[in-house]
Amino acid sequence: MSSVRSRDVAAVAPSFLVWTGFFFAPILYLFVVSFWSVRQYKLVTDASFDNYLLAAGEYRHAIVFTLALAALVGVVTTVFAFAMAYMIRFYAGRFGNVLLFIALTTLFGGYLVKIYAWKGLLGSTGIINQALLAAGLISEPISWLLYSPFAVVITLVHFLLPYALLPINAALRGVDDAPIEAARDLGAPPSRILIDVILPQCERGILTAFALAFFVSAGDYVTPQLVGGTDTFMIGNFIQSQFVNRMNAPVGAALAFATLLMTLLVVALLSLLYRRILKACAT
Amino acid sequence: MLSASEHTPLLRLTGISKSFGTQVALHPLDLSVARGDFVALLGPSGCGKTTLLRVIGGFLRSDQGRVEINGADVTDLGPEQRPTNMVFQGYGLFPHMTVRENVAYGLKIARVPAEKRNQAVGEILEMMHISGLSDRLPRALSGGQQQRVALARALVMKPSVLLLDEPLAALDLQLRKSMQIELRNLHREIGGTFICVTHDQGEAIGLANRVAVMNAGRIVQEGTPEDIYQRPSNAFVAGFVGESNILSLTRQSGSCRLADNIIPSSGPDGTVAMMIRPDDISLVEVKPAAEISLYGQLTDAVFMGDHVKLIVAAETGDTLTVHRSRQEWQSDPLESGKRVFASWSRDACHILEQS
Amino acid sequence: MTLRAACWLTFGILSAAFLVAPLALVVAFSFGENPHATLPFGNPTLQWYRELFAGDDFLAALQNSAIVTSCVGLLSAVLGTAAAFGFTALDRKLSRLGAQLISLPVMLPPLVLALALATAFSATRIPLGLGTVIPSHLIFTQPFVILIIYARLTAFDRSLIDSARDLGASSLQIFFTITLPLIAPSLIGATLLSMAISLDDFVITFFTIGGGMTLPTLIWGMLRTHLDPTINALGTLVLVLTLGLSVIAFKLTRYKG
Ligand SMILES: Nc1ncnc2c1ncn2[C@@H]1O[C@H](COP(=O)(O)OP(=O)(O)O)[C@@H](O)[C@H]1O
Ligand SMILES: [Mg+2]
Repeated sequence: MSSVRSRDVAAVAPSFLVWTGFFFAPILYLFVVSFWSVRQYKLVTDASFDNYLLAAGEYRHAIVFTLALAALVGVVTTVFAFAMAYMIRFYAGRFGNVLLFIALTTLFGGYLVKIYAWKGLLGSTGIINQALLAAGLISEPISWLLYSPFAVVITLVHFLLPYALLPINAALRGVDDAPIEAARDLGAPPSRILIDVILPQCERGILTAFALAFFVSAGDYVTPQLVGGTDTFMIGNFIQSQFVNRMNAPVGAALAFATLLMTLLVVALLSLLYRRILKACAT
Repeated sequence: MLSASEHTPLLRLTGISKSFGTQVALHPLDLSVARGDFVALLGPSGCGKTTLLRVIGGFLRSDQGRVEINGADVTDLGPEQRPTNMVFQGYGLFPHMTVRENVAYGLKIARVPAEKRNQAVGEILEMMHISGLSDRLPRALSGGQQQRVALARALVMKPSVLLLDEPLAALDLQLRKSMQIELRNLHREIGGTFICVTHDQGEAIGLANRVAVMNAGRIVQEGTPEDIYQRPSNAFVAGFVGESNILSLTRQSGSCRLADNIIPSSGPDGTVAMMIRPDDISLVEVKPAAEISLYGQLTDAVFMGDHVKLIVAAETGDTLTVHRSRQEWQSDPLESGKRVFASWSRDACHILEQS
Repeated sequence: MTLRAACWLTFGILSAAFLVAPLALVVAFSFGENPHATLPFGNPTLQWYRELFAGDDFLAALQNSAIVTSCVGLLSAVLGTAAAFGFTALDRKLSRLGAQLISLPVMLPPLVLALALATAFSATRIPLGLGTVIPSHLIFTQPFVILIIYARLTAFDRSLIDSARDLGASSLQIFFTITLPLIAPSLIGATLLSMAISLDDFVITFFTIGGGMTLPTLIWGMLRTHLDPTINALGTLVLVLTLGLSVIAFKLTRYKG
């Protein structure tokens, strides 16, 4: 028996070695570094909470702004994805498979391409403004389409929609017809069926979708940098510039962990409140 | 030498037991199977039939006891080293191999030369009437055809013992019936030793020449199908094999009382059970002298197709089930509610110890 | 069709357009003479592709991407398959915990991971290059292989293994004649998926590659400097490669959402 076990342990060992060496140890090290400081471009190993105080002070607005924007992206993406999944489950027929196929194929490819595609679409000479002008709906290009929080939100929603669609779709597919039909039979309108029967059964899928979208947008810096303009600085941009421009890894690390903690808290809170929110909606 | 191997059973299990954690699947049990036997392991779901079969096949190692095949101790050998082959519950056909490749697999592993292999495979496919399917994949076969392939794949190895785990359970009633007959014929034709697990008593009786009834990890009775049906050794077997009426009585100093009948029965005082098959009971208007009888009322008659099932509520509070053939019933029907004597001969009933 | 159904269908079509249109436009621009991202596309041309392929940067980036992607694919396949087999044999609770731990890198924002890696490499004075990019990619590609193969193995019909043993096959023979052929589609699919993910990665690569370039970091460079119309050709190429790998992967693993 013991020989079987050691063989199985040996099988998982290489993966865990890579995991330990290139994930666990570096993250742990970064966490330790977040308590250190930098002097003359050199790490100084004097442990203190200064960096975290900085995060809670000077960077508080950036963190709050990032969390708010990420939450907005999370909510929009989740609602959008739910509507799509709902359509696929109840109205689409074969077209639903096409939608799912699109979502799946665009899931793992073209991260940068998607972002710069929006840059092209939203610009003052971009296709959207071109089309609106041509249609006579506007007389001069809308300038806030690009280099604005709006651009960041729409780009992130586009990027994250497939990620959110899959867990919600899986959850909705797991909802049986029988209870839905029973509710209809008892006279419930679609809105009540949604709140009383469907949403409670999709809790995990919905929370997963939101958490994914929320986490990714809170940690993203490429999107705000490319389409956010100068006043849409998210915390990722600060973290990135602490590392790259100011060579201050400790402050960057502290900002990263502080943001991570906050996002985890938000998601935990939301999963605690999910049932209650539904109940409030129901009454 | 020859006489020795004729007298040692082909398969002998001694003191086999098996537990999964705290769950006892098999209590220590013995079983001998003679060469050429078709043995059915019969019992309700979860009684340990598959476990026992897997111990015989070498897929599970028993906690205690010995497995001998042909007089050789195979307890420590894996399935790849035992002269047994198994037809699995879901057939276990390799989905990426054609019928022919499935059947040839074991011979290939044993490095049987291609020519001999092809011949053996061709013969067995012929015998199982699936030659026409040899290039199909399992998923393009019906349940019955898959069953044949699984049988062919095991039989081509010429096993000393062929093990079958609920071989017919996945087939529909019609197919099950015809496969039963075919399985019997196959056994007669090739003369091997088969051990078949089933929870269907009709199947066990129809297939096997020996039946081992199992309950809760024990073999509770072993014998010919007639033995099992006509002389069940306890109330469980009586209840499980065929339909039966089981009446609870008290035995006191060598005799039992049932209403005004006295039935002699030796054994310790206490509660015992009396078993009567529904077709051994007749309903009459005059109390017969030499027979055992209960007075009661006919409460229901249910047409069952080939027979009619009558329900009699006896004075004693017992409910009896009685079978009448369709012809008999049509020539002499009884009205519901009629008062009758349900009677049977002493030979037709058995006193069973409660167990 | 009811009005309600018609509305939902319209919504569905619009969302499909929302998902696809931006990418389709990049592809369309890459084949049009118009150098600006505006309509009309202009006459069809392969000019941008010719220019792209003529650049040294592109060829170097392509080569690096090819090396990284194939190494990551191969290593993910080998490590991930071994780990999945281990997990299948190990205690259920233990393997569940293991799978969760090993999937953590996928949950973390790439930026955090990238910074952790960059900081650790600089602290240990490991020189940056493709040698640091490959293991860095491995930690977020191997979970996909492990999860896909693990799922395939747990759905594996045990009676096939039993059948093969019953017919005399050894463990090694069972692996090569039964297990491997049956998991091959999943294995190839998982490998291609890990290649797509690796090929598309920008953030981790950017922080762990040092001086070199891969296709995504080349895109980044072009975005930062000038609006070069060859970027559409490059973007199209990356899209075709990553989405193509994904499509084949999902077909093979028969994953349907
Ligand atoms: N691998 C196992 N682990 C734990 N319990 C098992 C295992 N296999 C069988 N059992 C238990 O042993 C008992 C007998 O099972 P089995 O032999 O499959 O019954 P049968 O084939 O008669 O339906 C059952 O209670 C079952 O739950
Ligand atoms: Mg069983």
